[in-house]
Amino acid sequence: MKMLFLVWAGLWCKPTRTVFTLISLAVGFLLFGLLQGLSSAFAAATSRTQADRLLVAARFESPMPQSYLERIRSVPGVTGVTWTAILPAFHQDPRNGFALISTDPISFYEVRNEYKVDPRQLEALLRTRTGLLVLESFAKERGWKIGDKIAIGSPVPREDGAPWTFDIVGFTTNPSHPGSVPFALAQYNYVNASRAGLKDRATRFVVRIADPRRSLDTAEAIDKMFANSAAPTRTQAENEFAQSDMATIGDVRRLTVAVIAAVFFATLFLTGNVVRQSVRERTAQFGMLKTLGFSDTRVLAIVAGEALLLCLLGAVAGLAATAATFPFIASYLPNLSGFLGTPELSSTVLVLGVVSAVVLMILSTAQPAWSAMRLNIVDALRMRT
Amino acid sequence: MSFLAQVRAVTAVGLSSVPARLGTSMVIVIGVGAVVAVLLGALALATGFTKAAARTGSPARAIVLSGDTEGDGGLPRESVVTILNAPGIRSSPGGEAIASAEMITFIGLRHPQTGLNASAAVRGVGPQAFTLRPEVKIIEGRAFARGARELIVGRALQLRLGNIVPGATIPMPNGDWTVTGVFESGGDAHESELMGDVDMLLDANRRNVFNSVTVALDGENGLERFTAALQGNPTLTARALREDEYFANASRAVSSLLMLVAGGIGGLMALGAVFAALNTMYTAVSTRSSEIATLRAIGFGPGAVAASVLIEALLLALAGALIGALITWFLLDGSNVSAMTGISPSQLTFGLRVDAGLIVTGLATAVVVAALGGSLAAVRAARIPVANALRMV
Repeated sequence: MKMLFLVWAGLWCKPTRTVFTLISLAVGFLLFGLLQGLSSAFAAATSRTQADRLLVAARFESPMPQSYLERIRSVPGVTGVTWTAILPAFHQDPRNGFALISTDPISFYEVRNEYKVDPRQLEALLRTRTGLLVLESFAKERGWKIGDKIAIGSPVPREDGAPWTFDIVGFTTNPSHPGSVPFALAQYNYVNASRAGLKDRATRFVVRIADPRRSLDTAEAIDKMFANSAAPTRTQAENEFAQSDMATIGDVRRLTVAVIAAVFFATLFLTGNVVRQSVRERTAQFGMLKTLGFSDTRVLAIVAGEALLLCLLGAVAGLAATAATFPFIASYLPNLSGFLGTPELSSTVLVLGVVSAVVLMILSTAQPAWSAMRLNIVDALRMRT
Repeated sequence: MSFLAQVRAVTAVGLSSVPARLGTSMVIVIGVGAVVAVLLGALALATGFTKAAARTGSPARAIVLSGDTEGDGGLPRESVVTILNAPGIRSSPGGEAIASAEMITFIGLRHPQTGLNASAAVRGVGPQAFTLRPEVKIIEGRAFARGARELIVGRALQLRLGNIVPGATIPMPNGDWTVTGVFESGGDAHESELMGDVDMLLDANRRNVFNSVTVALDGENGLERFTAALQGNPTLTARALREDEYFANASRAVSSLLMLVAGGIGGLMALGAVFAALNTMYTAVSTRSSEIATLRAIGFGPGAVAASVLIEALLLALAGALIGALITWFLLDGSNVSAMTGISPSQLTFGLRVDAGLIVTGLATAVVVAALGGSLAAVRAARIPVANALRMV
C-alpha cells in the first residue's frame, strides 16, 4: 500500500510531463488496437471466403473410390476431409430437381462449416438410416415438414428396383449463400448400399487445409498420390477469387506489422526518455529513500512500478479509445464491414496490448531503474534539487 | 540589436546546448521521423494505385458486362454475336467490328521465391484485340498464335513472378501452354494478366460463356448509339459502360479507402508526435531556465526567446522528417506492390514512387507537429520569471 502511494506520487511529480506522455502512449496504443483489429478482421474474412478449402474431383471419367478418404487425410497440411456422392433427384416432377447429397454428416458439417443445422436434427439424421435434411427454403417451397416420408425420383435407381424413400428429420441452411441450388442431405451409408451403380464411389472430396497460401502444394500432393491409379484426381481451390485475396491479406498483415513497429519504436524512445529524465531529476529523492532504509530492490521496484503504471494507463486509455472508435469506422465504411465483418476489439488484441505495454515498460526502464538501484547515498544526497 | 539578430543569437545559444540534451531532443527527431516514414509509405501506396487505375481504360472504348464486374455474370455466344453487330462500333478496313469478346480464368502459379500461391488471371481475347488495344505492345518474343496453346504475359505480372519468360510453360486445365512473349500496355491493369486466344481458353475450361466484350467506339456519339442498341434489345441482359469510367468507378472505393487509411494513421501518429514534442520542448525550456533567464537579464526580449524555442523545435522536426523520408524512399521507392484492388480480376501490380510532392507533404507535417508542439513551450520560455529563475543558479 505504501509502495503504491510512493509510485503514484512519483508519477505525478511532474504532472504536465506525465499527461503529455500518457496522451502520446494512448495514441500509440490506439493505433496498435486499430491496426491489429483491422488485420484480424481481414484474417477472419479468409475463413469466411473459404480460401482454406480444396475440392477433389475425378480428373477423367472414372469416378474416385471413397477409400481415397484416408489417404487424403494423411497428406501434410490437410486438417479435415469429407466426401459426397451426389445423385441428381426430383420430387414428383423432373422439373422440381434438386441435388441429393449423400455424405458423412459429421465430417460434412465440420468441413463445410458455412452450413447450419440444429444439433438435435443432425442427431436425428445420424439415428435414422433413411433420414433426410432438406435445405430450408426448398422444404418450404415443397411444403415438407419434419416426419414426412417422401418418395423421390432419380436417374440412379435402387438396386432392388423400389423407389427411393426418405424420412425428413430436419432442415439445414447456408446463411452465406441463401439462394443456393436446392439440395438435401442423406446418409452415405444408406444411399451407397441401396444404389444400383457407382458403389463405393465419391463424387468429390472437400478438404480443409491449414495454410491457404500453400494450397497449391497440398493440391499437388493429393493429385500426385493418385496420378498413377485407375482414377486420377484433380484438386482445385474452392474459391479462386478468395485464393488471390490471400496474398493481399498477407500484405495487409506485413504493412500492419511495419507500422506498429515504427509506432512502438518511437513510443519506446519517448517513454525511455521520460523515465530517465524523471530518475535523473529525482536522484536526491531516491537517496533520501535509501537513507530512510529502503533497500536497493525497493527503489528499483518504485521506478519500475511508475513506468509500468504509465505504460498500462496509456494502454488502457488507447485500447478503450479503440473500442469506442470501431463502431464509428464500421458505420463510415459500410462496404468494408460487409466484407470483413464489423471490426472489434478481440481478447487477443487486448492481451497483446497489455503484453506490449509490459515489454515497453521493461525495455524503457531497464537502464534508469538499474542506475536508481545502484545509486550511492552519499553521491545522491550531494545532488541538491 | 534588431529582433532578428536577437532571435539568431538566442537560437544559436540554444542549439549549442542541444548535444547536452541529446536524449530528449532525439524524441522529436525519432517521433517525427516515424510519422513521416509511415505517412509517406501509405501515401505512396495510395497514389501509386490511383495512378495505375487512371491509366486503365480509354474513353474511345466501351466494355459490355452482364454483371457488375468482369468476374460475375456471363455472356453466351448468341449475346456476343448480337453485341458485335450493334451500331456504334468502329469497323476495321476489312469491315469487321473492332471488338474483343473475352473470357477470364484463373490459374494457380507459385511465387518463385516464397513458394506460396500466386494466382493470376488469364484473359482470352478475340482476333481484333490488338487493333482494339493499340497500347498493347509485344516487348519480348512474339504474340500468341490463334488456335495454339500459347500465352503472352504482362510486364507487371512478369515483374511480380519473375519466372514467366518466353519459353516457360503454364499449367492449364488441358495441359501445359507455352509463353511466347511479354507485353506492355502503358502500366495499366491488363499488364498484370496473361493473354491468349479466347476460343482455345473456352475450350480448355469447357466453357461457352464469355465474361465481357470490349468494343472500339465509332465517332462522337458511338457510345450513345451502342448503349441505345443494347438497351433496346430485349434478348440481352447486358449493359455497356465507357471503359475508362468503368475502371475509374471500380477503383474509387479502394482509392478512397487507401487515402483514408494513410490520413488516419498519419494523422494519429502526428497527434502522438505533437505531445512527444510538447514534452521535449517543455523539458528543454526547464533545463535551460537559468540560461534563458540570464539572456533575458542581459536584455534579450521575450519574443526572441520564444522564437528561438520554436525554431529549435522546427529544426529538430525537419531533421526527423528528412530521416523518415529517406528511410521510406530507400525502402519503397521504385518497388512494386501487388494487391487485389477490384479494378482487375487479377492482382494489380503497381509501382511506388516517393517523389518531391510526397516529400514536401512530409516536411509540411513536420512543420505542423513542431509548431503545435513547440508553441506552448515557447510561450512558457517567454514567461520565465527572470528573478526567480536566476535565484536557482
